[in-house]
Amino acid sequence: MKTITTTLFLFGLLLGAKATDVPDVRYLKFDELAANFNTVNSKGQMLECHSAFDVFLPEGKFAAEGIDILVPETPNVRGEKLLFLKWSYNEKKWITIKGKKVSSKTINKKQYHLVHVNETGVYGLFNDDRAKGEIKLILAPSLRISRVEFSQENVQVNYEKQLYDKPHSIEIPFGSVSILSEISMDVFSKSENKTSGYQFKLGEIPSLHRITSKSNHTVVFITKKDLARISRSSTPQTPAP
Amino acid sequence: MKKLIAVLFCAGYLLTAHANSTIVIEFEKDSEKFNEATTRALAIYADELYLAKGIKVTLQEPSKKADPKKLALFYKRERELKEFFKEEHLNFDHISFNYEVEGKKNLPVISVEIVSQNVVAEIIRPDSTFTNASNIAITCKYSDIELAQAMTIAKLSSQEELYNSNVSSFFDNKIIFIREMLSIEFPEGKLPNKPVTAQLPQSAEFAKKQFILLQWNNINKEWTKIGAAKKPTKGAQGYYYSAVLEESGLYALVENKSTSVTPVIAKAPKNVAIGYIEILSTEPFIRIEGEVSDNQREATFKAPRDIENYIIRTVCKDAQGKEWIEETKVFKKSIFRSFLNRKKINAYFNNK
Repeated sequence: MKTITTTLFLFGLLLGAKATDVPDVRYLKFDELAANFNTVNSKGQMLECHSAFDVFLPEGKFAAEGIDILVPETPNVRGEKLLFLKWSYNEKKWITIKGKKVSSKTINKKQYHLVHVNETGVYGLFNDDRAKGEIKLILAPSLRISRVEFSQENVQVNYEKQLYDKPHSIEIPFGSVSILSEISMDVFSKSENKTSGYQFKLGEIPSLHRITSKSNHTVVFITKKDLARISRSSTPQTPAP
Repeated sequence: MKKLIAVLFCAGYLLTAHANSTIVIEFEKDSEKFNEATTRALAIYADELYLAKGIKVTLQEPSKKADPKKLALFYKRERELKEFFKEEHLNFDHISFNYEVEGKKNLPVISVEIVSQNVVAEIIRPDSTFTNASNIAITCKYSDIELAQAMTIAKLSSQEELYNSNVSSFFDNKIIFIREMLSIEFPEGKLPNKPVTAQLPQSAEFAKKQFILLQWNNINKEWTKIGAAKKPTKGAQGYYYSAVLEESGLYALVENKSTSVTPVIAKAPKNVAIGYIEILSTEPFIRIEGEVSDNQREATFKAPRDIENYIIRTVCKDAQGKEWIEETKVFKKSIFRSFLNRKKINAYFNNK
């Protein structure tokens, strides 16, 4: 599975980094964030990621005292409130860390968010404003969904779920959907008795099949024709039963 | 506190004990050197100097334009004083050297003051005023002369230069009128130790207008105000605005007046995502970025209320990955017309 493989690769990098005595903080680009992690908290709510970083602290002084990380505030956003969370590899979710808060600091008239880290791990700053609304994907009756992944780069959100009961619809807890949202899904066809992977942008589904209410509830009907038209199929990632 | 003063006349040296811990070395004539007699007189206080927590040396330095002989003599005296300190094994970490511009009345050429508090060794020189390589009148600390000399100030004047600078004309919730945009560079990315004052020439027609200096913060994408609003002052060669500069960057000299704003919402058609949106006006120069909503279907921005016409430039993208730029002219009272004219535009606007 790509998630596990890449995560192990990241661990390998971290182990390699242990040869040095200096801390290492590396920003995670959205591609990397979406490929290896998600942006869901322990309550299953979707969070918009402000920034995520991979921190390595060597044994000794840095591990004992920790380090401060400064992240520039978003331009022209007054009173931006962020949550500071740590990625839990066990739960595969972002969890809160006791006693860790986001403070702010001004250096040379530039404003930064400041967080203190004293453990190696993957950390993220998320907008403290739970995404409202949802998007419901409904497939034709003869099709079933066995895995879905939803990503939207402009707001850095990612959601991935394996669906063992293979429903023909799925609700994703995010309402501010763009036509550029990426959807990757494994679809089981009853008639063909096989699972195929599809990857497409929401805007590739005809606008007549996408209905958004004022309260940010979007319903998307995906037909067989749509899937046939979307030629960019991906390799299914649904584990074999 | 033990207080003592000694005034030494080099010719026929005279020592006066006084209620002050200052030793003053006075030279009667410019031709007089720091001779043996001076050293002998100073040596009387060698123990005091050796035990002192701090020594403050103040030197009245002749101007750089002074007679070279006078200058040479000053530096000789200065050197000999330092030699004396060295020979007496004084701790230079406790001595500060303060250079002042010669000419203050009743002040000795060199005074050596024993102070009761700890002194950190430093060399303090008066501010220097000169015209630098970019022909700008500069006032700065002595230690920053070299840096200020090579500092460049380039005026961005064309619309293209202004547009490519990527700055906003939105500040403090108001639209600002940028009078002058300046790209200021200290050489090799260095910073001056203390702010450098550059006198920016202004025409007489702006003499009565108040200006504020703003610095573009490229990380936070916003302007930062540098100092208070002030009018240009009159100098020997016309009017100038004194800009206090601490670092390289983009600066704007802005009229201390603004135009009020009106919020506008731009909406894209259903199959188009807005990637970026801005308002542009050429005369006066205005550029304001809009805020794109999470769903990329609409954007909000603050448009100028009093500006007759401007354009809205939008970077659009469709689901097939095609990207293009839409420019929509918006005339005063014609926002609704733009809204109706959907066929020609991919971003249309509702006045709110």
